Amino acid sequence: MNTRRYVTIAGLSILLLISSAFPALAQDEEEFMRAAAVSKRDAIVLSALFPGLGQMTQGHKVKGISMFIGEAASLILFINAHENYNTKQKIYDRDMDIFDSLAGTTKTKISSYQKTAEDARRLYNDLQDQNDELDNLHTLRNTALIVAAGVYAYNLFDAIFISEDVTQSQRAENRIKVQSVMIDRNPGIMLSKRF
Amino acid sequence: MKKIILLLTPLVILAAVYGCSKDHDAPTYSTYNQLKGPSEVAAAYNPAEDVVDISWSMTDMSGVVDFVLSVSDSSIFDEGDVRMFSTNVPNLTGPFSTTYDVSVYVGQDVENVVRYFTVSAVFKNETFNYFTGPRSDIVSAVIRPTTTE
Repeated sequence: MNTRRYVTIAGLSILLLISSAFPALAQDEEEFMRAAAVSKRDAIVLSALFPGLGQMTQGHKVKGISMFIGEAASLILFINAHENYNTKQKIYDRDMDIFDSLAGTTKTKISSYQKTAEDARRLYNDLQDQNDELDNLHTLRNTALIVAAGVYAYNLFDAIFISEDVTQSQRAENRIKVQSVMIDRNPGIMLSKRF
Repeated sequence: MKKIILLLTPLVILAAVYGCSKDHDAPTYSTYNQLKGPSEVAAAYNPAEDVVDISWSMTDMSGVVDFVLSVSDSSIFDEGDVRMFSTNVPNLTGPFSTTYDVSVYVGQDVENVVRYFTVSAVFKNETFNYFTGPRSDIVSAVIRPTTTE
């Protein structure tokens, strides 16, 4: 019987502690958000480091995340296409050397059986396919690079000229405000400050 | 700070785009396009000697040092069993001819089979070093034809 009583008291105590902790947690989060809001100068530096970071710290989460994802996706696409291009270009250069030297390197007459116009034509067609593939990869990587550069430039422009300074707007909100009000049908002035 | 970033950004972008400039050229076939192949190729089975006589002509002999005879057992030439023979023509003035020894390359008891022939010139000059040029038209010959009444 005593055990049941102790368990009930312990359970109620825990519930009380948790319920009292919720407002404190919410307050902590608000404090954290205020502390996380950086000055406009720092936001520009963050945006210069990677697009979207400045906007996110300024409170423009959707815009910041969009820029971050856009930039990251463009860069991943660019790096992938660039690496593919470099790898395929090495193979292309090697085959191009074989093609260019096909006419004149072999010393012996017998080997000329492996150096025929048909081989040259086959290699030429293969090289043309490789060249088309390289052209496509070149277009893809340049497009990805231009998109990444565009997102980066817009992000900087946005951080410098468009996004408002949260800390300044917070400061403005925290300043003492003077407002005209009607009190009991008489005009008056109200001083207010947000804490 | 703003001015420095605004000044540097386009420079960085331009440098990146320049760094990714296209650095491959399309291949050209012009070196090999100048080569000519033999013409007027004819192949006929000679039952008396059990060989196939092949003859051809070549109008432009510049750079030509030899000819290569290619033989296939398929009408789609390269899909068959292709063999190449140096003809070792005794002189390069023409007319040109060579023989294909049936008993050696086809067999003793094989009858009524078709072989396909084509001839290519071998070039040796400043550009080409024993390079086998384009093929002539493909001709065929029936070997040991069985007579039907």
